[in-house]
Amino acid sequence: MSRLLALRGWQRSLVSALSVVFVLSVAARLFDAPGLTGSSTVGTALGLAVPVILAGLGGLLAERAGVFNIGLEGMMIMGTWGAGLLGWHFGPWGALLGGLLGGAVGGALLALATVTFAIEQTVAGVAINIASLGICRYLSDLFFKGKGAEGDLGTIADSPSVRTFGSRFSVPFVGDFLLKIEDKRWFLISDLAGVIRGLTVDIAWSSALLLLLIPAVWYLVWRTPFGLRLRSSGEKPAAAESLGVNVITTRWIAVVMSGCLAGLAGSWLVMDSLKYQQGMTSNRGFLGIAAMIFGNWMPGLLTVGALLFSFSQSVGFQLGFESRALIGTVGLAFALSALWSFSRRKIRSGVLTGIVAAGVLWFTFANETVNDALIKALPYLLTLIVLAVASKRQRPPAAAGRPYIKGQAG
Amino acid sequence: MGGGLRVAPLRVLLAMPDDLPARCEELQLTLAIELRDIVKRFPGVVANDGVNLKVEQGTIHAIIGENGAGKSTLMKTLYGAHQPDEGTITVNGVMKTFKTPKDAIAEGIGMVFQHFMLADNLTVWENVVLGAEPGSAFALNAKKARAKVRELAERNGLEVDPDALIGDLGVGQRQRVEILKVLYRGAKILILDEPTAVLVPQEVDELFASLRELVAQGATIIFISHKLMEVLSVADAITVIRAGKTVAEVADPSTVTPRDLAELMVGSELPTPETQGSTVRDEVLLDVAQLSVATDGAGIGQAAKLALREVNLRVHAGEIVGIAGVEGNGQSELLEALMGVREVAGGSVSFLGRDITTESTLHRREAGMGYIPEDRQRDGLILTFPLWENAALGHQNSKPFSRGFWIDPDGAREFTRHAIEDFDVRTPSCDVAALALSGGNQQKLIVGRELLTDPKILIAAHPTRGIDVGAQAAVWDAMRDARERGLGILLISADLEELIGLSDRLLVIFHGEIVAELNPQSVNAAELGSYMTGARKGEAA
Amino acid sequence: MKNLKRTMTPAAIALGLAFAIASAVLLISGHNPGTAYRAMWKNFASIDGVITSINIGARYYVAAVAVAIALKMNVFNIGTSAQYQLAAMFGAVTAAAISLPAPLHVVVTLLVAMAAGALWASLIAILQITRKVNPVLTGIMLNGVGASVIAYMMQSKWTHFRDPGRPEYGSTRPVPKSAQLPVFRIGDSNLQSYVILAVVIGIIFYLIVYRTRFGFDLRASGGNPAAAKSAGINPKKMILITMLLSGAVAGLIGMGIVLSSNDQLSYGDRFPGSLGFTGIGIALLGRNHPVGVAAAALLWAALDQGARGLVTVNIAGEIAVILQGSLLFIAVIVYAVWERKSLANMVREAAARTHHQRAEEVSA
Repeated sequence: MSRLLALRGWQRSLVSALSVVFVLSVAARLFDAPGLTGSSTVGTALGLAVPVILAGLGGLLAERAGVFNIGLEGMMIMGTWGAGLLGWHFGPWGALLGGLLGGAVGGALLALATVTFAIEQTVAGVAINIASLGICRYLSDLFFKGKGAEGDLGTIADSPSVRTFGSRFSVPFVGDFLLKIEDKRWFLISDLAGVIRGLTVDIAWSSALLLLLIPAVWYLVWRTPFGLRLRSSGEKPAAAESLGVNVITTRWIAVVMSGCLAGLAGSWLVMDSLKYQQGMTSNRGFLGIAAMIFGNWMPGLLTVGALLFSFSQSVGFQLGFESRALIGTVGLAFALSALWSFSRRKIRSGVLTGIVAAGVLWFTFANETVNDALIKALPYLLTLIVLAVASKRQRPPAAAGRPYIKGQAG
Repeated sequence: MGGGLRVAPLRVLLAMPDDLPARCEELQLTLAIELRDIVKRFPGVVANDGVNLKVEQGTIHAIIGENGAGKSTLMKTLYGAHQPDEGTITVNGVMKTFKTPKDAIAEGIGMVFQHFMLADNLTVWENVVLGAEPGSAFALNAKKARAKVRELAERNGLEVDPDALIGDLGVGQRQRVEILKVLYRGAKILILDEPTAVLVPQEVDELFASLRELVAQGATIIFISHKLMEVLSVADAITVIRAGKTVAEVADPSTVTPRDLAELMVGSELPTPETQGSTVRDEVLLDVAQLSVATDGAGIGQAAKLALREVNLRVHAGEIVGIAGVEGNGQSELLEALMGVREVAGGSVSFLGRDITTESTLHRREAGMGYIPEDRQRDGLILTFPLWENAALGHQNSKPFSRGFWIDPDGAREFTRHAIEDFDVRTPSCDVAALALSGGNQQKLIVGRELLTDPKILIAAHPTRGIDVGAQAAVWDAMRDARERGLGILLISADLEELIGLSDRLLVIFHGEIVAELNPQSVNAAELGSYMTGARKGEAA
Repeated sequence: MKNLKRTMTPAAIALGLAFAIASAVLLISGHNPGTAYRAMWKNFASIDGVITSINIGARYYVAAVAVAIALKMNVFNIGTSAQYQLAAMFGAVTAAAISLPAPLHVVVTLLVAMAAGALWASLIAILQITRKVNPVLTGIMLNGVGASVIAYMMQSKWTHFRDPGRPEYGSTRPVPKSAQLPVFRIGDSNLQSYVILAVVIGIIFYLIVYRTRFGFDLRASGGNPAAAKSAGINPKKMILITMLLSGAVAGLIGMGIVLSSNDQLSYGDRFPGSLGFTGIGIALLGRNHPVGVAAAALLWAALDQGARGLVTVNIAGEIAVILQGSLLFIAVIVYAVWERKSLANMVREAAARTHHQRAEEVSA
């Protein structure tokens, strides 16, 4: 039964992924922007998704255990700093370790406040976000400023250069074959080949390694005794305690691991930019939480959500045509959803969605290029739209956000 | 300590401290549990003040006492949920200290809580094996867990699907899962805290059959209750607790009557909730017609289920209309729909001849609807606010609590002092936070707030739930007085005696429908019970 | 008096612990904490230091009040960042575009700024009410969108917004004399009259929250949403009104910078962008109380001012940020633990006193 459920979850992800590719292929033709489904766009998107996915998984671990972790952003910041320090000294593995440790410190702070002292979780998380900025700046002044090789000096806002993994990872044999198909420009088939090629060929080792954490987290939470205890701490902590589960310890471990995941997201960012920079997380911690909500606190759907966001960012890096096409895609999606509403006789929401769709599509056809500012806003807007669609139906863990004080059993 | 005891016709073993040691040595071999002189204090309260308990192996031992007597506190002590301040725990003749429930579990003690300790979003088997999972630390053996749960369920006649989500199960099935949890841990001594409170009579019978089966297989059961008939039908021995002390031990229940036990529990004559004479007037205050309300969980795509189906009822001035029903049959939805807290799916509600179906809660309250909610701490109070602000809650826009745009702290304090005096709320002042009051005093404050603001009608849910006998009598008196003055009351209660005693008219709700209208003068509790379970259907008038 | 002691003690404990942490950090990084604190004090304790702290503290205060209003009903307005910047931009543009007699010009400008802030904040409320979207996330996303809106409006082609006269850096046209807020000359320093506005906002905040029916509804909704709903308080309406109020106050955060005659007199690249998050920290530190928040805002600003003196002794000014950060973090914990303890005390006391009552009745 549970296997069937898991399968259904995967099928659902697969079906939604395929329909997204289909809509994108239509948009790529309609708005003359082949890059929309090109392997480079998708490849960049996959990379950009990694930190969002990791933050989302971190949020998932904490919240499944009952702690709403709005401090992920701060933990990611601490992770970038740690990755900058150890990556500069010891290379890529150092960067991974540094991120892990930096995030763990942030996680431990949140655990101390929310689990040990049972502080309101949002308040503690926001406090961590604010505190992390100052801590990293001060530490940079001590450890980075004026240090490093000639011409590569650190400052109060940057570390010296960090080394990353030398080679990149490709799934063997498929690359050339997919490239041929992608170049044919067959409708849907070439698009699909482009998307798959982006997801399998020429991936940074840091991305490839860290993406393994998706199944790892799933296994931990749904296939181990610890995972069951973790979920019970987030659903009904009093019940868990009455059966001898130590809710406090379980939540502590979950929140520290949550910080580690956010910190590893920082490692990825540092290895991607080849150094620590102040402000390099740019709200990815919060995007991770959004992805988690979109994914209904499940790793698979969470990944899809993160890919949607990062895809819109990735498109923004291309020329204006692709951005325009992406906006057109959003318009198409609205139009489809309007049709769906009409088919289910929800006239009012159908009309409303239809008007939005018409507006967005009109904008797309009326403008040859899209303003840079709008492109930058697109990931945020898409996130808001996705949250607005998804939030009402989601089911968060029952005890998430509620401090637990020992001895409530019975 | 035996001062207020009535022992004359009973074969009661007194828990006299001086002869305990001798008796213990003699009985030690057969005692599954022995608690001696247990004292447990909470801030400002002594919940257990020298309780003694002896439970023989292979028996069903009932512990009775009224609300707040300290039964649950005692059982939590035995289960290791907290530690006693004084006293000793002996299990099978060996003295033990339990730091956590884990220690108690290790000694073969298991507890079934009154409020189920189950995670709705986990499956039956997950809830059962939690904390003692089969498999290694790195891989949970789900197959083995499922098989074990199924096997346990079959062996003990506790049928339930191991893969069902708890959220989808009914109350009786959830209780089975709770018992399975305990058995899975190899418990030989089972504590059941008010297990029948949420069950309908048929389910109670099933439960008792399972309990006897368990005892036959060698288990010992401690059964906490205040329902005396049930206790007498199932228990092999009874311990009575009052105000944190053991007041009597009954070795042979066949020698006592429910009345004897009740008086032992309370320590005095019982107050009765009877009303005299009818004060019902012609004026219809509340007129509910064809009211339907959808359930909470009605998700997207599925047809909305109805929690309340075409309910008709009227409340006249000076009339108390009682709603009887097993909890979860639509009472909560009815209350919330009447107060405008929940949307209705169909039908209408009229108040004083005016249709208020779509009016806001605020308008209804201002028009004169008083409300005593089901759960005082969840819906009736703001625990961190002082009493005078709590007294204003629900009336914050009218005098004496506010003047125009501004609140009126002096007026509100004045009112609160009245309420405190009239309703005997025990509190140092009207400036302490509501959470500083005991449950009974909190309830008296709510009743005072709602009755002193001159409502036309009172929607009252469980007005005396969980409060001590003295407070109960005070609340009943207040409701009777108000009724005489022409107040209409819609009374929802799980206490059948209260319903029969107070109501002028009784309606029975079952699966969201009113299935019978009964005359409280001529109906008895057993009869009422059969309507409430749907076993009998009356003609709704 | 007892009340004062009860609120001051935890604040003092938190402050002491925070200074201990900062001292430890300084020692570890090889500095003498004494030297650092002396340098900070020296830079603060002068007429100019104090006046600057008050000027800065005033905008911190407004930023914190905006957050505190919403927190009074347990709603987080984390979107003040975008709200005040949008408001400052539209306010500056309005001030430059219209001409009115002096006091009216200021009033209209402030109203426009408040409207802009309230409008942007209302989006958070609307998404929460209609779609159950977590307001913290909406706030963050709208901060991102808001930054883009500003970047879009400040393009060189919109000459009503971007001043073509100053192409070297992006700013709005300068605010004319009639829309400027006066400054008071004290010694060689300028005290901004914006400080008066901040005080007025604080008083109104106090009156609304603790003295009006609306304030009662607000606090009740924060204290126990279910009980508030049963008492006839419409939660959706409360969220919307509260967010509008919070956003309107947020709209005023940057107006001292835009309108004060000794300040920037425009919105542009040099405009400070971190006042939103600082405001959140100060609101939490001041426990959302009008007076507590005022003390926290002044302390925060004084630490900022002191930190600028650290250059003279070769210590990074960021130690002040560490001090503020750890103060915030510790304070949040200490407050909560303290409150729990005093509530438990209250329960115990009340129970003891009622028992006493009962005993008297029995003996009588």
